[in-house]
Amino acid sequence: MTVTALLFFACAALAALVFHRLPARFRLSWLLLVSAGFIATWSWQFVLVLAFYSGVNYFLGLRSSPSGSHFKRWARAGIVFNILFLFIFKYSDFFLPQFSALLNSLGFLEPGRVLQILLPVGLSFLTVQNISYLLDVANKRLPAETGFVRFALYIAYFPKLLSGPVERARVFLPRLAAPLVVDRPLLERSAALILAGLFRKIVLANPLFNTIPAAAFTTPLDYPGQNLFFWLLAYTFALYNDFAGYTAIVRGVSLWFGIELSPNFNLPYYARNFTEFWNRWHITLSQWLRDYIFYPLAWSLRRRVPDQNHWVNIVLPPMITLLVSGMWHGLSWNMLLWGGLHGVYLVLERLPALIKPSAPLNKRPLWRQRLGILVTFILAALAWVPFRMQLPVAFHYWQGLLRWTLPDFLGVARMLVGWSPLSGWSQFDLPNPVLVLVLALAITLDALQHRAGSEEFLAAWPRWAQVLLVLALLTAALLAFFADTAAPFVYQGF
Amino acid sequence: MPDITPPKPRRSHSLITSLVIGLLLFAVLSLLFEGLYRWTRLEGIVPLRSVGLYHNQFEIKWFELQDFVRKNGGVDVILLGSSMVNTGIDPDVLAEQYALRTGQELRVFNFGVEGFTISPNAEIARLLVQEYHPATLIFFTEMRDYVAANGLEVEQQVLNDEWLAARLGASPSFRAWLKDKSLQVQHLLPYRNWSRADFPDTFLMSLRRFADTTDAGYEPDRKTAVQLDVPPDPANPDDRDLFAMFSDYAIDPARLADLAQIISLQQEGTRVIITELPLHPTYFTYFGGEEVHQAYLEQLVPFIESHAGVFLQPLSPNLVPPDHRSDRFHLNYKGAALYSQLLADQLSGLCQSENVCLLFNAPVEVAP
Repeated sequence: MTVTALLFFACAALAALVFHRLPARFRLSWLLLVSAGFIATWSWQFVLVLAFYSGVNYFLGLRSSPSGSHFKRWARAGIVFNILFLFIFKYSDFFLPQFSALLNSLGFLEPGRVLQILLPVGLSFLTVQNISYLLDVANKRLPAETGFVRFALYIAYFPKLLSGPVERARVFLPRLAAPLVVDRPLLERSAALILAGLFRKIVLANPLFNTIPAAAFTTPLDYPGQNLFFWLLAYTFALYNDFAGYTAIVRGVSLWFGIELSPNFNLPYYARNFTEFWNRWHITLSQWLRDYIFYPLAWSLRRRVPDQNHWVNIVLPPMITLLVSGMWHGLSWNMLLWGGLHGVYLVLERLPALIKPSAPLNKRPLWRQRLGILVTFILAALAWVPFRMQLPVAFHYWQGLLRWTLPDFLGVARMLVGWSPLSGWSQFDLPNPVLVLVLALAITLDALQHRAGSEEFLAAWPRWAQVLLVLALLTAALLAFFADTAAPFVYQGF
Repeated sequence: MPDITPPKPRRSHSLITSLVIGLLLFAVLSLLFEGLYRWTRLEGIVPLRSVGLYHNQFEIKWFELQDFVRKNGGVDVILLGSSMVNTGIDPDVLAEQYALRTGQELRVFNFGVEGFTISPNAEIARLLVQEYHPATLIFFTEMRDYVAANGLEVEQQVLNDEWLAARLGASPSFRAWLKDKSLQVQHLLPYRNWSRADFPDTFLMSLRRFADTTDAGYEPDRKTAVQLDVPPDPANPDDRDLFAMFSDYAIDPARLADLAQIISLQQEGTRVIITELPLHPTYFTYFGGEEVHQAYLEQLVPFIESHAGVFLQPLSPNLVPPDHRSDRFHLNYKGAALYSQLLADQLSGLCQSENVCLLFNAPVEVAP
């Protein structure tokens, strides 16, 4: 069940109604049951896998508590277990064919058959959450959770299960312990988040993804540079609206249960440099990477090489952190390149500070801030190319971006005034007008949010604009209901 | 003196209330548009309609036929087949010539649809007879119809469509029901793929086809064939796939069963005539030459006759000059005008010699 389905909202609303009717002591158990039901809509086997996974991590958490003996070893074992678990499920494509061939040759598997493993939904997100939990427990930042239901909810709470936000146990578990009250202002916030999320997903992200022909990502050199340019813009905004839309929806739904989930996006394409970009894009994962990879690595290096301007201290922490981020997204050369590029951007950004300390972003002249936004956006967009495409194709795409042709404006004009018969649009080498329109809408929405300075900016809109937004959303949803294609959330694949 | 007035806080509107208003307004607007489409002639302003089938030419024909029947009170003859029928026969010319020869005025509609082989056409024929009870159905067949692997993609797309399945008797899903019953939805459906990469191309193509198609369902082709006498070459990349598909020609029994299904519609009171358009002689090169065509006819004609169908012998291809064709398969607008007259002559001859005449049909009720 996807989080944009009407059935999802109906089931979540029903679950919330029952939740608030139940005595407080049964509420979390009910929420766990609902979460298990949600997982089962993907596959009932996932419920068993996650029950096992939660059980093992619960046990490891108790053992990693500093009150016990060998707690550091237990925590390390826990980290290895989680990484192995992820590796077995997520990267099974690499080793299962060979393993199947071995079983075939030994006669344990019928000839020609290959073993298959189904990837549990959201496993990459669960892995990082569990690792942070074990480390926090071992480092005395958090007591080990003794209640299994609360711990299992930390793993499997349905709004955050598929694609995060990556919650920290030390933030999430206390929220479960607090009274879970829902009042009118909270419901208004929830409506603002859900409406903005649905609009981002249904009206912006899905159409933008759809406007890009599949062949653009396999044979980009078949297309003129201007089309590749617009498709890259479309992908850049589609990816952001897809994930930001998803996060807003699940945060809004979570508020029905009185549980606040962490924000994940804060207008990333308004970032003035890459340090700021990573504080605005997939915030919860970025913070996780910062706290559990960047800082420990930077401190460890500083102990060995005390000079803070030494290249080791300048280059290695951001490069390694962003390479790990790339690997988290997928064990492939193109993801490594994507992470590596962002690592390089961060390193380059730190170089001027070696000569002269930089002024804080807010203190810089406005033109520099705006130029920073533009440069950061362009470089981030270029980095999405290897994020989306396998390596040789990504290089072709970059190459193709430089090969602009002159569009056939005369041909379009002749067709529009009726001097030539109506024919296809692609022959004119012009961008798809629908793409341009939706892109403009996406940029406008971000501009409005930027001006309002709040992610719940819809609440400040005049009534007629809010109603118009609802009508646009319903019309797009109706068209999507009848359309021949449906687009899943991109980050559900991780 | 500095202004110390605090900024006026922006008034916040309840989003939940706006959501409710939006939902209600959406429902009201839906009802309003449904009414407008039903009781006014809004189609004139918003021409395209759809039932969500991926094949937009079928939809153009489907709605043109509805309008045709509404306007003329019924349909007497439906011409069914592929793109060769679509561009190859002008029903108005056919009707005029037939009236000239026999004095019988007829309402003829061209339901030729690009890419439709005999398999989807067998189902479409059933649907058309069920809906409009034409007195005569003329099905134009050809050798490609009987190759098992030919046209499978179109066949699956069409026959698996929920709307068509429901029309053919399956119980409709909510979506199929809406597509069939709501005029507002039918006017919205041409835009359902608005965000797809190919939408500007397909939408402009639909508009053009809609504008080009006459009220009687004929879509003229303005191209003129070149170098028709040069036979196709298996080494030519453009011809390679066709040779691969047709060179080892054999009639598929399942496709013959589809033909039998079309002929069996005679039991519903519709006369079924089967014939073949005058194909260019080099067309048969793909199949192995004219001999293979003759062998095909020797198998096909007895089959039709054994099922009590009427087979109208194909006209000689030499009657159609090369500049009346747009390629080896299709006639252009000049060819269509000529062939429509020749076909009317042939049909009137059939009427006079064997008393197999095209008849005027009883009026048919068409739902709005």
